[in-house]
Amino acid sequence: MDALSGLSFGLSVALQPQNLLAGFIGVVIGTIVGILPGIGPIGAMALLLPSTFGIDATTAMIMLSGIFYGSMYGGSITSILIRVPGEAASVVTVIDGYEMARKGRAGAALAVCAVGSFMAGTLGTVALMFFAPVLAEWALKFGPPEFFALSFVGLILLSRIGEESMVRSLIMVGLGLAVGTVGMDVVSGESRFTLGYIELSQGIGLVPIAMGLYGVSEVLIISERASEVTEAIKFRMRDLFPTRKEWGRSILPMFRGSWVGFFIGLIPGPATILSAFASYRLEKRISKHPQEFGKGAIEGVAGPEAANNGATSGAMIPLLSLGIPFAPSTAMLMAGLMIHGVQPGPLLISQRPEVFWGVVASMYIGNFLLLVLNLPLAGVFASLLRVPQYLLVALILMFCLVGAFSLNNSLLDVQILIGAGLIGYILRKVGFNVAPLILGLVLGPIMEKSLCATLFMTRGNILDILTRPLTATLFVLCGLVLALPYVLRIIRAHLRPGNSRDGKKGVRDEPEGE
Amino acid sequence: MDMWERCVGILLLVFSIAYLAGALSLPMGRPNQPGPGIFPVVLGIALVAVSIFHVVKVFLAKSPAKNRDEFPYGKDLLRVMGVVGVLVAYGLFLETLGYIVTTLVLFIWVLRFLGMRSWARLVLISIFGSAGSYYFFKVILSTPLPSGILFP
Repeated sequence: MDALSGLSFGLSVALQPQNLLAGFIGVVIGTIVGILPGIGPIGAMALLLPSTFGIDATTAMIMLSGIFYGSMYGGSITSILIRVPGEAASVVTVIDGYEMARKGRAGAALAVCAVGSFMAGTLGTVALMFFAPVLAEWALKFGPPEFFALSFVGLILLSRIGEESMVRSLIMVGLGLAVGTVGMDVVSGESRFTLGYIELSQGIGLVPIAMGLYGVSEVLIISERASEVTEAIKFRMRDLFPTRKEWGRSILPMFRGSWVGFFIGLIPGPATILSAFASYRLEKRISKHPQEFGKGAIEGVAGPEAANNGATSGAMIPLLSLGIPFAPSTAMLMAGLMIHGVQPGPLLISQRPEVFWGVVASMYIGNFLLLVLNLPLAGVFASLLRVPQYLLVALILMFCLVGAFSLNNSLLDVQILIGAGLIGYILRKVGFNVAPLILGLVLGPIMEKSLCATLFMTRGNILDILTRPLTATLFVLCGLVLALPYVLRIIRAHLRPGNSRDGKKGVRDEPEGE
Repeated sequence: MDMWERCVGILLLVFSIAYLAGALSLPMGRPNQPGPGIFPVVLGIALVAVSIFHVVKVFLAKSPAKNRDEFPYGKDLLRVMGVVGVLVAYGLFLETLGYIVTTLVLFIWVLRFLGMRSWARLVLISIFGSAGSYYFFKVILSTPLPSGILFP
């Protein structure tokens, strides 16, 4: 199926009433959780997974992916109006977005965010539509060694690319992998690490863990601060239209941000967050007036907001064409596929075209809905922040607890949820990032299954996989990325003697801003 | 010098060693006939190695980690402990007391602990929240929530 016939088929799926409704619900929930502190897209997807049991796989996926990209729109609203990023990918928007709001241009900033997000979402979906089927077709030739290499290198790169220390990320990845080995072994069917609980032979589910780490532990973090009502900056409807000059300044950053986001989205790691930072740095560097950045430069809002939406489309590609999620949010989408018995992998597009094309088409519709919703209703959404903190905490907890229970009707899942929440809270407090844990948990079974199959194939000589071109390339690439910082350090050390005089002069003449 | 980071580092190391010990008790199989133990053992060795590295790093570090956040104290700590306490109780008593009772307690406790002042509104919201959600999940979405001993 080529892209155009695929799209028209997808539209016929996505426009069915129940799918249209699911997409609408998804993007509205996405916007709301993007705004509310304490619950982000990952927690929300985990919460709603159990409730999609009864509905069709395509409808469920349309709703869940709607939450994912919808949350990128919502996060910017609070960044601009109250200087609090609703979710992590909008941290950068706070810098110039809030400054614009203080200068009375809140409406313009919101409009630029919505339009930039729409543009990036749509461009990213176009790229996804053309790129994913090609990649999937190519991936049909992949054997277990390739899948082992992809998941292994993915997890290692993830630890390198993240913002904190590699040792810490690796520990989290290892914990996730360890939790993933609980239960029946994928090859022999033997029970492992069940500690005598029969229920544990089914394994520890992603959903209670994700809800614990992202829902409950977040609730504990908000409980630390006493209730306080945050006052949002007021803005008038007619301010929603940016001036011609503001448009002119933001159109190119939006375009660049879309592609920066899309390509970073393909890489393992917290793509939505990294891409927003990358776009901000890029805009600041190439800007003719970099001194305005940090004081309300519209480029600093347009670029990053487009980038985090572009990243959502990019991140869908490894999931939909390889069956390997590289970001925690797409890991939740994969859990959604598996709950409905859809096997993620290179065959997904050809065997379940209605799922792939339905989701792609729904992304066009969803992004349009978000644009329409966000422009006039930004103020209404922002008023959600007046919901008092205690009510929010009670409601989030209730949804987490019911969600965990309803998954398997098991009390053990509720206890796992609570345990994961406490452990997640402590880990976050001492500076660990829990995202690699989620990815380890999801990629673990894929990695183990492909490792065992590879061992069968190569009669125990695991090093044979290095003779296969793709696996060899992946490992070399991984080695290069790991070695890069050290190489750079050595090069810098060698250049230093010549630089030291310039360096001193630089300090006196132009103090570095960054 | 950070007690919390050290404690967590040591706990992670203990967990890794326990995991490796558990993994070693599983049948390993032969390299060309991998058994259920091979992946956990390799993982366990890697985990122990990384954890040792981490513990050494934490013990030698002079300043706390970059993303390290102070634990709350005083009233703030009390609030967090309150939420933790009611959650643990919820996990223990959900099956015996049933959804409505435990959720009612959860609501009252959380709302009160996090600073809702008016008792009347608090009780009203709690009753509405627990009974309403019971109706929504059990009757509309037919989730088999435990009804408990009070409403058999």
